Amino acid sequence: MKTTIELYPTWIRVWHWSNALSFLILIATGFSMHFATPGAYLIPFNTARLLHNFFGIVLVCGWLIFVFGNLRGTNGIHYRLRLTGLFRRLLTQALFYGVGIFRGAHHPFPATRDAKFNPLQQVTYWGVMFGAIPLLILSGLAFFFHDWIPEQVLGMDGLMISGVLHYVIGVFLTAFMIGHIYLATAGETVFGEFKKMLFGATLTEEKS
Amino acid sequence: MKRIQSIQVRGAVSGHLLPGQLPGSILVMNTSMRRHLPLLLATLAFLSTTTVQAESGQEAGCMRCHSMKTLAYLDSKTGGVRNLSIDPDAMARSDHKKLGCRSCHGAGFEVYPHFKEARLERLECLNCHKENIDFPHELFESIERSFERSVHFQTLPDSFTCFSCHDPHDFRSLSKQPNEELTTVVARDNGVCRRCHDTPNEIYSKTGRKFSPLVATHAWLPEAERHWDNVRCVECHTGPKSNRSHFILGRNDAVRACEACHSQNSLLVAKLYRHRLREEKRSGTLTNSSVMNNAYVIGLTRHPWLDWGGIALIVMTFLGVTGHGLARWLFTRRDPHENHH
Ligand code: HEC
Ligand code: HEC
Ligand code: HEC
Ligand code: HEC
Ligand code: HEC
Ligand code: HEC
Ligand code: HEC
Repeated sequence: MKTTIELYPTWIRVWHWSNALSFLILIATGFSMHFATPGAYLIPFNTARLLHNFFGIVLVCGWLIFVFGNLRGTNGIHYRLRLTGLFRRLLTQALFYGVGIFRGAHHPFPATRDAKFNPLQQVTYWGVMFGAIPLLILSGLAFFFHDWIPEQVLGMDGLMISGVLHYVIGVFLTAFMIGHIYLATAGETVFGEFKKMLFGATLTEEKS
Repeated sequence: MKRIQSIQVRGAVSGHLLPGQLPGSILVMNTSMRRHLPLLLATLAFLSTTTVQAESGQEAGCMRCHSMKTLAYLDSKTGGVRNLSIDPDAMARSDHKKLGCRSCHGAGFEVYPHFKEARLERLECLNCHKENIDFPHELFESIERSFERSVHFQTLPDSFTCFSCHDPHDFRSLSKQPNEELTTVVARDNGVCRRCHDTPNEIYSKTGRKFSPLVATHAWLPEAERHWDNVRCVECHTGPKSNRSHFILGRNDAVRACEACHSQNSLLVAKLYRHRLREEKRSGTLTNSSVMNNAYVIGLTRHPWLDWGGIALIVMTFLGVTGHGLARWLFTRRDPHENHH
């Protein structure tokens, strides 16, 4: 029996592109606040602050939708890490990006209904969605709710740790975004993955 | 002239200032005293001596009365309460801690009741601190120049003096407190301004000038109260350039640009943090750590390693994917057929 499933249901696509927009704006505004210089800035400080606050909240909402969506629906299956043989699978995928891709080799882990991500994607997305983003959100909220955090930690301002953490995670996620956009061109065709995320993609599988 | 011959107050007295409200208190006053001091704040418990012979360390003598928190009288001229209490702890911490009361105050205060003439004495910071090589003076002369150009002096030259802001009995300058918590310094210096500017009605009744509450005039500043816990009013109100905290400018010249503080060449480094930085320079440990040890200020609190590390990571990622993409392109161009076997 054949089954057809939608790999990128509408809510995922909306979530994805709202995240993408938030990321771009948060990166630009975060960058211009961190490197604020009188007279030579990307975005004026106060404008940057307002935008950063707004899209920070959008990102938090997105994250909550993501968590609840995956808890309820079937998409969560793609985030279930299988640890056995994980290292080997990661190596295989890395070898593909490092060597095979130049030779036109096939993708070693084509999308299936239980695993639309390749192992490298799975591990990275897992770390981003359940590690980096929650920490980013918590350290960002610390700026809002500074009363909640101790005034002094290790002789420093209580905001110091969360502030530095927020910056460091922000930098890593910026690097992630660059890699993510680039690797999206490394599907079967250069623009194929973008189209899938924009218009959806069905997957038909033989079910035994 | 008749003076008070004795003051006898029986019973514990606390808080209240009206002698009439003190049960059992007997206040012997002459009539002129009554006129001048409708309320002689008779918390002078246990005093029955006619004169106060200053003991050898006069402080002890003066402080016997003046350390009382409730020592005050209603000033008929201003209608306000004139607070005569001196906090001994604050005095002991102040820049004038080495001076006895009588180094500044005249002999007329050595007896009680004080000589009437004594009250006419006009002490000025600058009486001592100007053109007098025995006292610290250079700083004061430049402060005086700034003060005379400030909005306060310009608009109210008669009523605004150094004492409007400084109490000689607890004044300690920032430069002397390199190890004090910055938030304490900020609270004290802002307390100076807020004593008046938190009560716009009082300013109105005295000068006829109407101010809105501070939170309203600073509504453009996000989390204003939080800012005021961490930066001083004079940071913004003396312009962005130099550290002349007495040259208070008009409202239109106040700093409004966030980047003035939230950036690397923050005015905070030239103003509020300056003594700390100087202290570290002297001890040879100038890194960013002094800025790091103060409040976390977006745009100012940056560590060069983290900045360069972050930029390096982004640049490397960018170069990495560009190189990879270029290689992919070159390979597929060389052998287009192999791509889809
Ligand atoms: C017996 C208690 C007592 C002692 C001791 C005392 N004072 Fe006073 N002092 C008062 C009282 C009460 C007033 C307010 C009435 C007045 O001005 O006489 C006052 C007022 C003052 C004033 C303010 C005058 C004005 O209204 O501007 C000064 C300054 C002052 N005292 C200084 C001193 C000094 C200096 C000493 C020590 C050498 C001293 N006093 C010792 C009770 C005392
Ligand atoms: C550095 C000089 C200096 C020293 C030391 C000093 N005073 Fe004063 N004191 C002043 C000046 C100046 C004023 C007038 C302030 C004003 O006009 O508002 C004053 C005012 C006062 C007043 C009137 C209330 C007030 O605060 O304006 C009292 C009371 C007083 N001093 C008591 C004392 C006592 C008690 C001591 C010792 C513990 C002392 N002073 C030490 C300079 C000094
Ligand atoms: C009676 C003279 C006199 C008056 C009035 C006076 N001072 Fe002083 N002040 C001194 C003396 C003397 C010293 C030095 C004290 C020492 O070395 O411990 C001093 C020290 C200082 C210092 C420390 C400066 C340094 O570099 O060590 C400051 C700040 C200061 N005074 C501020 C003030 C202010 C503000 C006023 C007015 C509210 C004032 N003084 C009024 C005599 C006076
Ligand atoms: C409008 C209020 C105001 C008036 C008026 C004022 N000051 Fe100040 N002063 C301050 C504040 C706030 C500070 C703390 C900022 C600083 O340390 O630079 C200060 C600091 C000082 C310092 C310490 C400066 C340092 O670098 O450590 C001295 C000394 C001083 N004032 C003297 C004076 C003298 C003398 C006058 C009168 C000519 C005067 N002040 C008038 C508000 C005022
Ligand atoms: C003794 C009370 C008093 C203190 C202390 C005081 N101010 Fe004022 N301030 C006034 C009064 C009164 C005016 C109104 C002057 C006028 O225009 O008539 C004023 C006006 C101002 C203005 C408005 C200037 C304009 O554009 O017209 C600013 C800004 C200001 N003060 C800042 C400060 C700062 C900063 C401090 C602390 C360093 C301070 N003030 C301390 C009484 C005070
Ligand atoms: C971040 C900079 C900043 C700080 C900190 C700051 N101010 Fe202001 N303040 C301004 C600016 C800018 C204006 C002019 C606002 C306007 O014109 O709308 C102003 C206006 C004022 C005015 C005039 C209001 C009026 O109605 O004309 C007063 C008085 C004043 N500030 C007092 C204070 C006091 C007191 C503090 C400390 C508690 C303080 N400011 C802290 C920037 C600042
Ligand atoms: C006079 C210097 C100064 C100016 C001007 C200033 N700030 Fe701040 N700001 C600070 C300081 C210092 C802190 C740190 C407060 C803390 O540790 O809680 C701060 C904190 C903040 C925070 C909380 C996050 C953090 O960095 O800890 C925000 C948001 C902020 N400022 C926004 C602004 C905006 C927007 C403006 C312009 C409208 C502005 N500030 C102007 C000094 C300034």
